[in-house]
Amino acid sequence: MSTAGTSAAVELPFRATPAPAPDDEPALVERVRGGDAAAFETLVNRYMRRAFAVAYRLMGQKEDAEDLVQETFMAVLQRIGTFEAGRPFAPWFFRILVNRGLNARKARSLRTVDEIPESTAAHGPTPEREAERTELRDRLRTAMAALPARQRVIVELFELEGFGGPEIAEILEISDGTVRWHLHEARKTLKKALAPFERSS
Amino acid sequence: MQPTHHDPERDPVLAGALRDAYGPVPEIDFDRLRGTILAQAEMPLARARRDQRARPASRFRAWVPLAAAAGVAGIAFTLAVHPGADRPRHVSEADRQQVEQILDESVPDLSQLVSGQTGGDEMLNAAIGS
Repeated sequence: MSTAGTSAAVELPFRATPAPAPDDEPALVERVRGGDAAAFETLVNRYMRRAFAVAYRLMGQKEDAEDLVQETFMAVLQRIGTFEAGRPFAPWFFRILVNRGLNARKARSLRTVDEIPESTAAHGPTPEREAERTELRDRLRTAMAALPARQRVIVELFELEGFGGPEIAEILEISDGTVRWHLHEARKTLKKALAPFERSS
Repeated sequence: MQPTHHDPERDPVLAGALRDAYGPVPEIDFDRLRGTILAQAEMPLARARRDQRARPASRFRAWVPLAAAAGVAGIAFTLAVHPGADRPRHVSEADRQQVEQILDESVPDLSQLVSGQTGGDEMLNAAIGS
């Protein structure tokens, strides 16, 4: 795909793939189950930033994202008794976060396209170029907002937050193949929205 | 999670365009967020600790009726297998002969009473050991 006006964004480094869960995680979870505050704090420190990033992608506003992260950690404490020992903690944690985020987004009828902070404006070299980039961003946001909820969250997790396909599958409790299909469909839609900006380099 | 061969291919151009459109994740005061989360977590964690402490006692409580039932069953079994446990169960042959000898010497034969060779009073006196 070739899109005009995105060269600056393309130069952004790819977000590193999430590190594998440390070996101490099952023990930490077990300690949290017993009410160990230090173990809980370790989990908070470990997941807070990544949780906020995902929450921000879902909610589009940092206040809402902070609320979502807090609610998710509280939900973790409420449900820790039901967590299956030996299973990886991260997908379970992000499943809670994503499900709550999707519900909140639906309930509040959030339209992220309207909530992008102005600070994200690019610094184009010319007014024409700047106008073109602004239009590109608007089209992309509109196209994203029009995606089915599941496709949108898959794009957010995969393209923006660097989650892997199998991890997304586990978070959303769907198969790897379904993730790939949704991603394929979403990309097709988004590329169609960006087609007017395509240039033959 | 590390990328695997199941991972769909990354599209850096689309990802870049999306990042440009949505901007970076803003920096927030993570210390404040951590503090809020930990403060909210105090009560649920305290409850979990209380439940954890109560767990051994409640497990023990569950065993009490079982232990009582086992005790009753044990007593019943003992009584069934050894009825009259306070009575002597084994009398040796020597003891038995000694007892018979004493009885022979002290209690007149019933036939003597019937035949009139021994009086009733003598018989009674012999029986009460006087």
